[in-house]
Amino acid sequence: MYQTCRRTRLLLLLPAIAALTGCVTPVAVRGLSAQLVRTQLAYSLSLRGYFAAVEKFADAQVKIADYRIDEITSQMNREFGQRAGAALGHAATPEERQRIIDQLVKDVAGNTSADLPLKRKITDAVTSLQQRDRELESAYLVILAASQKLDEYIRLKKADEAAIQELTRAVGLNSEKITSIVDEIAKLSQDLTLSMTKTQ
Amino acid sequence: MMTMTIDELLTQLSDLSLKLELTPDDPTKFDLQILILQLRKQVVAQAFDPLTTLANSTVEVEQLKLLMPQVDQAILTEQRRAMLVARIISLAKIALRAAGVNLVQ
Repeated sequence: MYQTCRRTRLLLLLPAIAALTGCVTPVAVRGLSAQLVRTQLAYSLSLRGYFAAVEKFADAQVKIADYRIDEITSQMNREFGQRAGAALGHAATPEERQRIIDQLVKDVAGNTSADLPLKRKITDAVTSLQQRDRELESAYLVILAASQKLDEYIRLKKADEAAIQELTRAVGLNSEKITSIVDEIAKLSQDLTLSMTKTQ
Repeated sequence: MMTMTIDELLTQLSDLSLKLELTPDDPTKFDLQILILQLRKQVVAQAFDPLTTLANSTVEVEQLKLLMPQVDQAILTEQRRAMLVARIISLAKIALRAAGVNLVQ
């Protein structure tokens, strides 16, 4: 009888101590923390897929741009060729013909070499996109690692929680249940404090 | 001063070129045609310009990297404290049993 009474008192005492010391991490906090890490992990995978798709699209756009530039260059070279052809028809001397041909070679070479800086500018822009993607990806991995670290701390069995768990095990109670009860008590106590403040 | 984009300039020059279509060929008309084609190449390359502005925005995570080892340390400290508490309680239970108190395993 004395043992049962003492045990009952101990059962009531445990959540009360836990609530007063406020040392148990609430179940809701642990739940949110774990879910946050899972969501961030899923987001990082989705982000990687998104970057890969955008980069593939950008690579395709570079090919299209290169093709379009080459096409315009060919059109310009044709224009130079037609002008040279018309001029050759009116050339009176071999020197004059040679001058027209030299000019055509110069125009075509200049036209083609002018494309190189343009194409380089395009590939540099896409490289900048890829670099930025890698930076964002690695920054997000650091954010994820920080969240995981916090979650590890939140899920950690703290010294006070370890004590409660040991005690509850000794009296045959589920510690998770105690944690929920502690949460409830803490909430009730908070509500009570609020109502008392309002009535004053 | 009025500023004009390459696109706007290209549109105006193309309109001008259309107006000159029926006039006899001359070097000026030829130069105009070449200028239009050069601008078309510029428009193609210019489409990629927005990508270069991406480099201006950064995400600062250095502070997170600095703070994480501190949490590691806190975890380690807490684990040691929990082990100590478990040991003390275990000793206390032995003492209680020795004193005749019946505890559930």
